[in-house]
Amino acid sequence: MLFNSYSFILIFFPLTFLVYSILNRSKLTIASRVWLACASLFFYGWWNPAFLPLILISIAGNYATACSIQRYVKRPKLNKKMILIIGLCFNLLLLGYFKYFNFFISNLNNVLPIKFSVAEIILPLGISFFTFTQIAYLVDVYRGIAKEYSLLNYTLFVTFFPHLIAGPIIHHKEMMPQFDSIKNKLLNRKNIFAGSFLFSVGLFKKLILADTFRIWANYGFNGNVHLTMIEAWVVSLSYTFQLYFDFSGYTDMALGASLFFNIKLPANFNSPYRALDVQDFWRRWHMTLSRFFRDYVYIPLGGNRRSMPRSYFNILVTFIIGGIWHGAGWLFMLWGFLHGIANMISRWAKTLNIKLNMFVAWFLTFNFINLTWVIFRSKDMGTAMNILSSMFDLSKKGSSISSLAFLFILAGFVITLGFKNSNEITQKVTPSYRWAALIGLLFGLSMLFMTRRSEFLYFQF
Amino acid sequence: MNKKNIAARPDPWIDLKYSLTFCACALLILLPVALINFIYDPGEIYFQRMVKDKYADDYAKMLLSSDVGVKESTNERIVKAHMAQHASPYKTVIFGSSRIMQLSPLHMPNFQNYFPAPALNLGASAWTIEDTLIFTHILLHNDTIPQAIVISVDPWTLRWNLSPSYLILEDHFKGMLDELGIKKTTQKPEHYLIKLLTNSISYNYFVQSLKRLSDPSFNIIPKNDFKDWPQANAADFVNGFDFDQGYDYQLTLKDGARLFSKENVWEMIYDYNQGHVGYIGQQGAYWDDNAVDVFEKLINYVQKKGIKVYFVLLPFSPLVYDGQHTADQDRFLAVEQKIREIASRNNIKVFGTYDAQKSHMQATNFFDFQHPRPSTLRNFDFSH
Repeated sequence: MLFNSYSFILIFFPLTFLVYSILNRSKLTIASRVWLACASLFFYGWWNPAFLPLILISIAGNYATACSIQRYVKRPKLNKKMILIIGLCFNLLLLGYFKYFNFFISNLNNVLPIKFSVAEIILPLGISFFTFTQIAYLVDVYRGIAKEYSLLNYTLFVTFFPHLIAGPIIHHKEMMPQFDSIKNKLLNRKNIFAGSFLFSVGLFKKLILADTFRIWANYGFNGNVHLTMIEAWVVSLSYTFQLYFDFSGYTDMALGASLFFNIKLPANFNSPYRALDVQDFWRRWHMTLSRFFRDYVYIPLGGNRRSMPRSYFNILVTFIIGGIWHGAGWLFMLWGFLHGIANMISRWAKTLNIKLNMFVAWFLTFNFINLTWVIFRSKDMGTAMNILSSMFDLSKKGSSISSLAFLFILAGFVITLGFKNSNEITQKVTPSYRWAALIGLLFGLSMLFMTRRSEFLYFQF
Repeated sequence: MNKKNIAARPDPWIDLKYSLTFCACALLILLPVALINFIYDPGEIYFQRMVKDKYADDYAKMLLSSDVGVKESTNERIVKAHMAQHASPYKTVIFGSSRIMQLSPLHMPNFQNYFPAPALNLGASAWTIEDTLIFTHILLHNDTIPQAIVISVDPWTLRWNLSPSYLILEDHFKGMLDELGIKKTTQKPEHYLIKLLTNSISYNYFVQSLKRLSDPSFNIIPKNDFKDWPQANAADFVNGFDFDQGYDYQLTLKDGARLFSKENVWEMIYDYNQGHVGYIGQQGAYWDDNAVDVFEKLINYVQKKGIKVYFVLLPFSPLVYDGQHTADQDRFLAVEQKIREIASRNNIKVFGTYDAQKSHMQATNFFDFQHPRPSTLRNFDFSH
């Protein structure tokens, strides 16, 4: 089910919230959790019920692994580690099969004389997100940071619908205490206001901004067209803004919906296009994924505790894994590799105390991000090279793209650079007629665009 | 009491007032849009339908008796439904989407050589399997039923729920399912009223409504008959009229075919030059097994009534076969195979192929990636 659908906004969400609130008000807290977990599974199954068993198997497998690790606390370390490794393998195999099997086979077919048949595998929605959430949980249990004995609580932690499909990637320790808090069982007017605001802003970003930028981005990336220099820049910038408004819009809706239940999900974006270097960008873009890679890949690899070359190697490996997490393809890997290199350069510049003028730093960073998004979005190297070369080909002049695209791109810059982001504004939202009116207007405006609804970009990752 | 405590204190009355403020502001935007959409109604499904529905039958009769054709008037499905009700004199009827709507039997002798004449094109935009059931139902309740039905089968024809357009005639849809004895399908029944409500606040519909609003020739309350409705000038069509160029306005020819306006032709060619490939059902399964089952039951039922059924597979432009659209290419290939299986099981003749290369088509044979030019349809080979 999409957040930007009538069925979610007018039926699923109000009903889920209403029943949850009534059950909590009647002090039936277990029942309220059962209801929320069931509703979340229904939300997941709405897309394709055939994948419900998959998520349930994943939950059961990880829960059993976590329980086994918790039981082995007083036993020899080897057993505990072995169980963790088995658990991680279980998750990675599941992810590997659904996401990377065909990529692996088609590459094998390219190098081997014998040909293996490619299986018809449909990528289950949100598998990367719920698998990473559970990997983090298993490692946290192993480290003694997290503990959970209730299957119901664990199911709710994994399936809670606002974060299930496309994150944020959450930690058990930041979620379950909120579900346990008695205070959070009561309706909180301030949270409902803040949640409504965030949800409406997210809807606006997705339906009005991202889906409009999509038209010009698709023109360049899907069409078999020869772009002029201006068109190529319009296409690349359109995708840069589409991706941001799409994914941050989704996250705003997730955070907003969650606030109705008095659950604060971690922020995922902090004005990433204001970043002054690539390191800074990754502290602002998809923050929970960056956190995951830092805590569960980069630091276990040794982080920056060893030699400088080793720490650069660790950065590069982390970014390449980050690239391939986004999809099974060489271009994703290349994109990750380029960001890894840029990150290394940025760190190296800092060790040499090289400081650029703020505008120059922003200009270089933004353009690097914009150019690498072209590689990220392109279906093949040919398309990427076609757009990238057109961006610097002064001989191709003119543009047949609507002038509205230029206005939208200007608006994109103004919104992302000139205004406070939605999380910052949400801090100021208080229950008042002024905010109720503003949220109503924003919601009404977004509703006009509901019929053009499309899926969120990050659903495919 | 400080402000923070007031904000947190539960008070149903103040919550109600906040909710009302929220709703009032949301409605402040939605209601004017809904009102304009309701009145100007470019799809002719609200107010315009209410005032025009009673004249649609007159319009259909005038169209059938016109010299060449009449300017497109109201909702095309409603008009086609009325034409279907008057289809008794016609021995062949054509079903299909906008891809075959330009096939004019009267102006294409090649068609008349292979199918019983006269023929009537009942095609409508975004034609789906639901429409096939609807129009079959209408035809089967006429005094005389046709001898042949030519179905232009598109890559999306074997799937349910791809377009809500059929809902305007949903009674016939249900009627046909009843007649076939089908109690349950995997088709998700949609609710026309809900579709009407959501569409009334659609921005895209609003843009079309605004176009009407700014058109000085548009009358909110239409004239109470179609006596003065623009009819195509017969003299234009006497000597070698170039159908590929389009007409001054969108025209429904007297055999039900569509002649695009020059403006529409230009828009399609522009779209084609942009390399755009987009059609209903581009994503998702190739076909629904249950839809295939119902489709075959319908064909068997029709055949038992003595009507001969033919399938036409109109080609897609070479643009789809340029190596950049492999997903679409795979879809077309798989669906074509499925259609040929159905045809062979039910002893149905199939004409054509989706594959531009096999049918030796050039880009110039099409307006855009999916709409063949009238000249292409005129030369379509119905001999094998």
